[in-house]
Amino acid sequence: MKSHAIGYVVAGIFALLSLLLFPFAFYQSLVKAPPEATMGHAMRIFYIHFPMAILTFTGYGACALFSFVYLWKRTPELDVLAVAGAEVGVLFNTLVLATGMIWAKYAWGTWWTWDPRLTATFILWFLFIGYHLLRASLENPEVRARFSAVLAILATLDIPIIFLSVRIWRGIHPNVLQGPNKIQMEPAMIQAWLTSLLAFWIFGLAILIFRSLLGLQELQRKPVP
Amino acid sequence: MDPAVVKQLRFLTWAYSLVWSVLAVYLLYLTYRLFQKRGGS
Repeated sequence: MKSHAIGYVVAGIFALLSLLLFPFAFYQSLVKAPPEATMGHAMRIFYIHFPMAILTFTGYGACALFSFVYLWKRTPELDVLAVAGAEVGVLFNTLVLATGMIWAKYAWGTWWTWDPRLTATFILWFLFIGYHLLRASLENPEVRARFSAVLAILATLDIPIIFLSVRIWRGIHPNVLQGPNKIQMEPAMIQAWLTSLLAFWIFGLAILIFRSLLGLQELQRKPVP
Repeated sequence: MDPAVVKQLRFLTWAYSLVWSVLAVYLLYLTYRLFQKRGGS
């Protein structure tokens, strides 16, 4: 229990740090950064959409990492940590899709289009919904952990596809760093983008640690038979 | 105010409200689970 207490303190420090950063990030992204030339103020959705994407990959990445180590070590704690990553990943994956849809409705006039990056992100969301359904359908804890670990590792292979989709298939999704749809950003916009990313990422890590500790506590109370 | 700007701000408000509402509900759910465990032990 003492080790959990340390974990909760770490999560608390992360949460506090993010709460200190959020006012600065909001000021940068909602006030200081200028409206974009064609998108206007709707461009500011990007300052929350992008951190949601990075947190999606962080959650699923943690899930895949713990799943991989689980297949090697076979300890139930690693399975619990993988589930925490998958759950937090689905949360942020849902938010990245939702904020993207709101942006798309303004920019493209439609809530959804089968652009390669959007489709790959939707497939990723679907695979991890499948991960949770698979876990719910298996009763044997060892079989459940093994099968879901394999699925998590395979599903995470979609993440590089999401990154490369803009370059390979040339969809209409804007690209931040390079490519034909590159967003032209002024220094104040880059500052808003990075501070918002940092604040949300630290906040997301606090949530991930919190959820992991809850899972570990649950495991202690209900040990795997 | 320019109707185009109003429209942009409306979409922006939807996105921010949605993100923070979902995060708040999820944190409340986790907190509920935390105290439920403590109360049940």
